[in-house]
Amino acid sequence: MNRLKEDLRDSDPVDIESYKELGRLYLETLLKNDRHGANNLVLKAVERDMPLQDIYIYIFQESQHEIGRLWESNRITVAQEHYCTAATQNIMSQLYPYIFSTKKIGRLLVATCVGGELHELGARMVADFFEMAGWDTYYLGANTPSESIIKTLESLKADLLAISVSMTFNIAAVKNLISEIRATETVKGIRILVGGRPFNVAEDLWRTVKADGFAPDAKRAVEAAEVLLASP
Amino acid sequence: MSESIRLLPVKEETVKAFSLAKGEITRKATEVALERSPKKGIERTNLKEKYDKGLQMVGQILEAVICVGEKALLQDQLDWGKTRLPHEGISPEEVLENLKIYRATIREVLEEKYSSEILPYLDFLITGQDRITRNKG
Repeated sequence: MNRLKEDLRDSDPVDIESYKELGRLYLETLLKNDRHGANNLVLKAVERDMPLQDIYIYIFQESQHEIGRLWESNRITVAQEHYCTAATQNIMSQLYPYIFSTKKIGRLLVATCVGGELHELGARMVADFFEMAGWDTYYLGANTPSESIIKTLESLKADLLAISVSMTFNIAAVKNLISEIRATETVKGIRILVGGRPFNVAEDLWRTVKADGFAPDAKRAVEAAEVLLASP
Repeated sequence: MSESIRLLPVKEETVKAFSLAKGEITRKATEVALERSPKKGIERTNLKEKYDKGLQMVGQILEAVICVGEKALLQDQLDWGKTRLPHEGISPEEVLENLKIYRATIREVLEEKYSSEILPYLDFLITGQDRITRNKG
């Protein structure tokens, strides 16, 4: 195992398995409270031309899912969960010089969590994937009141709204937000994409809340947006 | 089998009635759950807080799910609770008992025209939790 880790540190990650192994090593490093070590692993991967999207999927996304599972089975504490999440957010922000350097395509995304939703990393990852795809993004973060979201959509004239939700009990807030948007003359036509655990669990839920589409992860959110905006 | 229970989204007025009564339902259900709990001594430490928090969550989940009628969301919560709640010191049997208490409290607090729409959701949870309890060994 140690040999494998050394190999990963010293060679280019060239396939999916090595990306996954790098993701596991990243999490293992964070769980040793070594966020600087985790940071270095990511920066080294960037230097070695690992695609940013793959860094997000195989390192950040996978490690966050595993952190959730570890907490659920009581193998890590809430404090450890928060430490790892905060470290990952910090490390993600160091990639912004790369992410924000993509050529723009003239589209604007607003990404948000509804009021009451405190898990913001999913929405942030979605916004970053759209930036990587050339969109301008306006990321509102956690726990944003519906009124503020609607005012933002009005003032920015966004092409798309992405709503991320982690906790099932916030589904009613998503439904209400979409209903309010559809009842507001100035923004009622905006395309709305939803995602997050409840939508992954219940496959038709996006239709029930009257969104225009659903994506199971950040990468597929960009693909879904392209399809949505291409349709009349 | 819990899958055979059909769930339909409830009327908007039922959601409103439940939202208004949710706090009272949680409070009453927590009181009954504490009275009935066989736990003694050190086992009762923080029990009120735990039951209150747990039943508040049941109310929040129900409030959301009755709007959309998705039993997959309830099953997901049962699966989550099966893994997580024993680590919080709450056994599957306690969860089952407290869900039954919550169901009875809904019947007591809400008018029948509202409770009759919501109870199938509780029945789904109770049936699923009963299965978890019987299969836990």
